[in-house]
Amino acid sequence: MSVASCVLKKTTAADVGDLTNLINSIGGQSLYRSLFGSYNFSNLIEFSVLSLTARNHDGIVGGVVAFNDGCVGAIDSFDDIVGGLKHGLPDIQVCLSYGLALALCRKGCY
Amino acid sequence: MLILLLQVANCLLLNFLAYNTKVCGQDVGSKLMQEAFSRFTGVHYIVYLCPNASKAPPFITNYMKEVNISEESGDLCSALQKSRAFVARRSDFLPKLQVRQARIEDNDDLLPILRKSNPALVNGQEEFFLADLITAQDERNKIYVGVVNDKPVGMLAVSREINASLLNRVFDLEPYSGLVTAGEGVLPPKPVLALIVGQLRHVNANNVRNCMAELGGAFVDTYSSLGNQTAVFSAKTIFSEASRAIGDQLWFCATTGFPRTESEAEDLAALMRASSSEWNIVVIEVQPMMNDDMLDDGSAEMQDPTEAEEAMESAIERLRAHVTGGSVPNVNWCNVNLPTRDDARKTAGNESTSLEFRLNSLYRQYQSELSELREVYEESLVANAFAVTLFSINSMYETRAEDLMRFAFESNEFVDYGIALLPLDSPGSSLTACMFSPRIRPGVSFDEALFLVHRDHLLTSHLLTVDRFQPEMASNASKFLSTLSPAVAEKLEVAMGHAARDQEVSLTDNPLDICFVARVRNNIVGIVSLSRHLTSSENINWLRRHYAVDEVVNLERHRASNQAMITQWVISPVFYKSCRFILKEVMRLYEKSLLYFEMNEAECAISAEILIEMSPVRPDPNPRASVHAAAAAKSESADDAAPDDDAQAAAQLEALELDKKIQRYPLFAISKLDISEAKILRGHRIVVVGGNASALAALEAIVFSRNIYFMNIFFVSESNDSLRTSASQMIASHLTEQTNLCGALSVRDCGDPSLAFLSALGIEHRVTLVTGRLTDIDRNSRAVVISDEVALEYDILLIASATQGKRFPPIHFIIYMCWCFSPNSISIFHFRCCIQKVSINIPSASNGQCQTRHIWARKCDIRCGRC
Repeated sequence: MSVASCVLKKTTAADVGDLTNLINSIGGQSLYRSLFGSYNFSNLIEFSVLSLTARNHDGIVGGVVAFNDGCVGAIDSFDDIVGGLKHGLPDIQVCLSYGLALALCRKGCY
Repeated sequence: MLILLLQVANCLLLNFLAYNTKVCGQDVGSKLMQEAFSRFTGVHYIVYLCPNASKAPPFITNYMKEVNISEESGDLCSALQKSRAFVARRSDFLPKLQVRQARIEDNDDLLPILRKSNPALVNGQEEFFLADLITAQDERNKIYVGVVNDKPVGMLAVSREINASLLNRVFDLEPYSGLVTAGEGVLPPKPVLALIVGQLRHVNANNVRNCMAELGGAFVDTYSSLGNQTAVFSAKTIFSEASRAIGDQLWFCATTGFPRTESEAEDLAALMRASSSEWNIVVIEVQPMMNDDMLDDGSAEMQDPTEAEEAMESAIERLRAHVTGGSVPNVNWCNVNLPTRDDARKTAGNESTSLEFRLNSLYRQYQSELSELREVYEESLVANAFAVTLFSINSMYETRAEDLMRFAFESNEFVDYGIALLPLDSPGSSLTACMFSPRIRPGVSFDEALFLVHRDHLLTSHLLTVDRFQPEMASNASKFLSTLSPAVAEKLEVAMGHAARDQEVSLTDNPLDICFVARVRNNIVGIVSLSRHLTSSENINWLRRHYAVDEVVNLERHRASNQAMITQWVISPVFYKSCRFILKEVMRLYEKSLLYFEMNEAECAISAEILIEMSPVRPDPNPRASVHAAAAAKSESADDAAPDDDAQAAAQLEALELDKKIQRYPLFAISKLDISEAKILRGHRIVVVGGNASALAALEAIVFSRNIYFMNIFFVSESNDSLRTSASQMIASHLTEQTNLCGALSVRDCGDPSLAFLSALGIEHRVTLVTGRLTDIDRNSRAVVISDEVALEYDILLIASATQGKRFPPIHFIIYMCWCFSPNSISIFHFRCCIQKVSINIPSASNGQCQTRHIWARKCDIRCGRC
């Protein structure tokens, strides 16, 4: 199946049945519960910042993804999680773009 | 290349991911992640927390890299202690563009991209026209190229040669300070403010209003509003109205009934002194010719008509004494003798004594001076911007268009704005996605839309944060408030005062009133206040009864505690395009999944962009009464008797009547579900002709389109009543005057909609009303002529005829988009979301044979035919 036939759309409440079928066909709910915790498709659709569904040209759902910008109902706040992750990422150095560096050279900063 | 640190604002949590490669291909997972980064241009990281007990599957590890979390870095929260973290970066899915200046050898790589995206531009050009453009680069005209793996994938041509005078005449650029500036040593002409004071009961306000309209000025009538009531106008209001008129380039403004007291005169003088504009002030005292009916009611108001201008003059003199190097308003005064009502009959037609004559002569006195100064001023205008003259990019890298703009700003370090002019019916591009479009000035016809972006928005958007307002931010808040008009600042201060009462309540405890600030570093660029007082369960039920909220959101899934009402929303115009990000952050911090906004202009300060991003909610024309509440109220007077059926019916009717009288305002809503879906902006000029129920239905369908925002909607209707100036009132006047509702009634046809319902529709905020009768249609120029005077250009013309002619067959669907006048397939496509597709047979203009055409229509009934 070519990628070109994959159509991405925002997930709607009407897709819940298709999503359940997808999960059942690729490992079952227990697998995904172990990876993502106890999930509910209706809540995922309604309360996610973004949820997308991928369908092939026959209209069959082949993929779903949901994102959020916080942890609703979680004990830890999103800020704590991100704060902890910062330390795990490699040291980030801000590099100047060529244009900005050129502008600063002209101003005599170097 | 700027690499950004992981922050809450530029990060999303992956809540769920599942895909079947056999159904959608091997790259479906990558496509899903890529689409997420495309939709949120400010998101640079996606984080997934995998429980320690589970092994991260390949479909996660294929796209995300594990982050080593060391406990040595500090106390980890429990979520991180129990999980392994994986991170995906934006640049892994949407490669950054390396941007440089274009070289001649880029011609071969760029031409195919240009041909694919702008075929009309390339057709007919010489083979090396692009190379010639690249060769012709100079300091004011540059071409930048975006490169991936040493291969050009996009280009951006910019120029500093901009007709600033034209831009300033056509578009309302007042909110964008510094975009157009006068040349060195040139000052804008001083606008004229005429204060009409004295015996105002002899002044015919309608005549003055008409006179000012003919002179192209503004008129603020405070006297007619005051009557015997306490003053509702203050110096701030007058100054705000006059400033707004000046901002609209109406250099002449008149007001009646102000100032009334010496303190009002001083307040106005102080405001004008503090303003950046210089003013010419003329005080016109009105005295009756017989001079025999002076008021003497002992009130604080000035009793002698000459006191007004004397108070003004003395206030100005006191300011002048304290001025050091600044300028003060010039004050001149002249008197006008008006005839009393008895004398008016004797001296009818004696124009030399009329107030209108005096206003005319005043305008002429200043007009030649103002016109000359205005011409010099406008010719001197320069734009503090570069203009995009050509843009093209490989479709795979469309979301990276901002990289090209960023480089353009970095290369033009003394320029604050980037602009682009596109045809109104253009579908827009990934470049304009980061730009905002200012409105065209009223009365101006122009076939292009201006898009602009400030360098701060592009270069510092990653520094934009939203935080709860804290008392220590007060000084920065004051700086932000000082940039706003006094009326707006006052509303924000009140809202911040309410929020201060719940300052000690933590966010997790769901405070009732709260205030958030949008900041770039320590600079406040926006203030948002919300309240949960207005979203109690009872209030939400009221909203559901009076508005079709369930059409917009699935209200059953949102608890009342997760809903809030935005009460104030003011953001710096520079960051208008960050509106959705600010909404998202407010929802995250306040833990809300649904926000409302009720547009009560008297109490709310609002920036225009929020009304674009939020979805309008249709008011219910027949609100359902609260039967139980009404019945309970009735039964209170009864002796413990349950309300019988008759009493219940009566109570229902009473409650229904009461509901209809309650003021309803335009309502907007947005849920978390809608945050990722930006509205599609369309600049098509849609002209709707006809003041009847069909026109109303058409306007309703256009305005309440969920995913598309039409920026230029014109409503043409005839009215003899000059006081009915709003679109809603125009429709209401026609509906109440006509006994036969256009002959072809709408499906909703149920009596005349009340003015309250029409006000709640909020149509007048979206629609420009053009008063007059349709007298001609110029199909070649695509323009309609109104009352043989005004030409109004259109991209889409909709004629809602009130006739019930038998010549033309009825079409049982509305929004027949005048296919024969505007066969632009793009404009039809954009209505798909709100209406359905039908097929009709239309006789061809050329050979008379019927052709099957597809139109998008909604249920109603309009008769139409070939004109």
